[in-house]
Amino acid sequence: MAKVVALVLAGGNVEGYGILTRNRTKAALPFAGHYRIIDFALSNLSNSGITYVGVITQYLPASLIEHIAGGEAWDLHGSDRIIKIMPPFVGIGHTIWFQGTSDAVYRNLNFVHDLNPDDVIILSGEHIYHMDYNEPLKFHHEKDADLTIVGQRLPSERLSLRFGFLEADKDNRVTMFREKPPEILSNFISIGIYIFKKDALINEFNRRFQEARFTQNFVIDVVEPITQRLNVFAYEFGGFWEYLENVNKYYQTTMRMIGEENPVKLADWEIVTNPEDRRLGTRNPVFTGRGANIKDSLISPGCRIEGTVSHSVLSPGVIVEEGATVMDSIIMHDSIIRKGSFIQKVISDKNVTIEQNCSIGVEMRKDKNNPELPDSPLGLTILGKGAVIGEDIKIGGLSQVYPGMDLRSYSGTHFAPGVNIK
Amino acid sequence: MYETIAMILAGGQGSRLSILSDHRAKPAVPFGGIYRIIDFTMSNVMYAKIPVVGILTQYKPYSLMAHISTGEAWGFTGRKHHAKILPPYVGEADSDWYGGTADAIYQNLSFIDRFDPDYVFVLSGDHIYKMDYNELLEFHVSKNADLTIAMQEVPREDVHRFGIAVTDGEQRITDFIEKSKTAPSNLASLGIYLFNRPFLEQVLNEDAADKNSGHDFGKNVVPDNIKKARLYAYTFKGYWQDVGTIDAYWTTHQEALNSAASGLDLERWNVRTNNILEKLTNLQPLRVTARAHVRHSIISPGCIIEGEVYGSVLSPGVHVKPGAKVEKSIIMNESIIGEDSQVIYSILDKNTVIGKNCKIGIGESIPNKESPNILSCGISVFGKYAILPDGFVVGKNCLVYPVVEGSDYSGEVISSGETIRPKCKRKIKIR
Repeated sequence: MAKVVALVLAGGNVEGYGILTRNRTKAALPFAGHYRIIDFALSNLSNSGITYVGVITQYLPASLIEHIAGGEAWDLHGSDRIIKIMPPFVGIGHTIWFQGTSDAVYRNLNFVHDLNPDDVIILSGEHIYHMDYNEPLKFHHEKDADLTIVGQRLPSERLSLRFGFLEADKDNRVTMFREKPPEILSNFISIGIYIFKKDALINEFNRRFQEARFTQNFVIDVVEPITQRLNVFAYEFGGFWEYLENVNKYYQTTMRMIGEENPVKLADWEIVTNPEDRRLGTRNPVFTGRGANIKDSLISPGCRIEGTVSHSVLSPGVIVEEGATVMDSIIMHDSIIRKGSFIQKVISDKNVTIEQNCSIGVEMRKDKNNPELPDSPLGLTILGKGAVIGEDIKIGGLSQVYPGMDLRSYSGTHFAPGVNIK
Repeated sequence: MYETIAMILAGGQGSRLSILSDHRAKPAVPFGGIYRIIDFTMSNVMYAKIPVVGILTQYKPYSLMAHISTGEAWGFTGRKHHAKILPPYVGEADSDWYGGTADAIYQNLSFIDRFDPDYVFVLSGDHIYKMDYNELLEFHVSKNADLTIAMQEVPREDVHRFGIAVTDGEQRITDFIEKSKTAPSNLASLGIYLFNRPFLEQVLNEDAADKNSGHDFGKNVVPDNIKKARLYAYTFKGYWQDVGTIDAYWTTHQEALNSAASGLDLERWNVRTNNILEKLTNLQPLRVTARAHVRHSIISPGCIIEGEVYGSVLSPGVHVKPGAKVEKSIIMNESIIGEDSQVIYSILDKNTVIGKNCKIGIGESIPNKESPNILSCGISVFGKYAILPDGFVVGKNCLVYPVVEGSDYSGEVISSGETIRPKCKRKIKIR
């Protein structure tokens, strides 16, 4: 069996998530209650038997480092099983921090050299999907490819200029590949999973480095040139794959998981998370009070529900007091919604306190938009980590309350839709 | 070297828990959704920062040993922290509890010696309570006691189930009567002992040499030393319960649902369990669908609720299908309640499958005909991996043994008080 090393790209700067990604990378964003987005890539790797994993971070890696810890959660801890986090560093010959993904991968190639695998699989830690990587690996070996790009055909409404576009002949040989071109070139897009022969990867890096022609993007610097010179094939993946391009898509994908048509099969896919993260493993079961009314929701361990929760996803330790209502919302760890408050279409980060009789996200204005958030008919309101919303405060839709804001002295204030409270 | 260590007596057979303790020792019986009974004592020891715990096992120790594992779940790993399972020595006579509770500790004196403690807690793994053992230790030291026993006043009608103490104004024990209907007080021993270590060694050696002794703390060691030594009663005001019967097991779960009135507050107690074994960490959040009703219940991760759940405690992975109704029941791991079925006043052990359109727990409360002493409170109990076919009706106080399947029933109606056993030896089919 071929020896495979995986590099997980888990740290680009993220746009389109407002204050949710101010202090964490997208890969570390909580998802579906008690998971984080990177759990999908890590679980897929572990379930595929790929046991040499490097996680490359460039941006705010603290929450990722804490989450991945020793890798025990994904069985990536042992004599032949390792997971190594590669945060940015400076040193001799490298006087500046990582300059984008190419540089980040290049500076960590020692990990690949030391393990000396046959193949290197480079993938994103920011996507929601389930894949047995042995399938594309088998394809890669059958084709004797230098590089295999995993792609998917998307309906036209899902195509955007953020993708890399592929064309392939009937033997699946790649005839065209362009990352983020100025126009849409096909409906066959790269889903950010690249399998290299180790030598093809190293040689290309060395060539590019000597020519000092790094831009900042690994796909543009390394993948694109290889597609023009070597044996490159496209493996088509037919399963569910979601890119979570912005907070709206994050919200919609989360909400799809509640319904009967849930495409994200956490149990079947064997997605696991780290039970040490935020004490998940030592949380209580869910306590529901006599007045509780829970419908159409996912509720994580350690929650206490005395009020109404409808069409919402709650992370561990959320408290919804009697007479409080949470609708169409995502509430992250250890937040509390006190008596009489009503919140709708809210994404609340961790440790948020909403005091009594607040109304958040209910009032909408169709003509409004928020310059800090992507355009959205959803009108989501985001509450930053640790924010405290004082009693009787009303906050309209499409608003943001910045992390750590304490609004207790603003009791009774009415904030119109579309504001950023900093 | 160590100030205190703890010894937990965890060999209890729990025969009055019927088929719930058929496959496991009483301390390993699940409780409160995700816990096992011994977790309460293990957590108390952990929160008291007692670094060493010996767990004395005997009866069907496998689930208990697997559950305790290295003790890591309670922080008993590291250079100075130890959790050790102490089974009876090889060749030991196949008798009740080594030769009694005192004998069990006596045979492990060398384990205690290794840690050279000043004080030794002797605890039971059978009880539901949260106690700060350091308050007990402070009391013990302030009284300059040789042995302190935690005690609580119990209703008069229950005194025959306990060791009962008489104390003076200083809380010194002046008399101790084990399990008698004519006890002179209602101050009951909770089976929580704190010994000065030299005193423990001395009395255990004396007891071991006494051929007439039953080698039991409550029957022998305590009464024999009342005059010779300083024995004190520490009054514990908090919630404490021995869940030794089906009735007590069910009632205690109801108390957990009414924590404000009962004092049994699982949410605040933060009891630790070993969730690695139970695969708790692989479980999804609780999923509640659009037509479900969930109220006044404790629900563990991995459950899917499509029907109604009231006044019940559900362990991980339970699936309540559409139209099904679970009320005042305890449902253990991975059990399935089929469409439009009704389960009331019942305890379902792990991996039970209830078909569609069944009714369980209805009708008159006739005591179980085979075991009226064990099952008369109205609760029906299903053993592990038992199956109830579609459309069956089960009364109250029924006992359905583990791995029973469709062909074991003689009809679709199981009247109150009936017992159903498998007709042949059958292996558990892991689904």
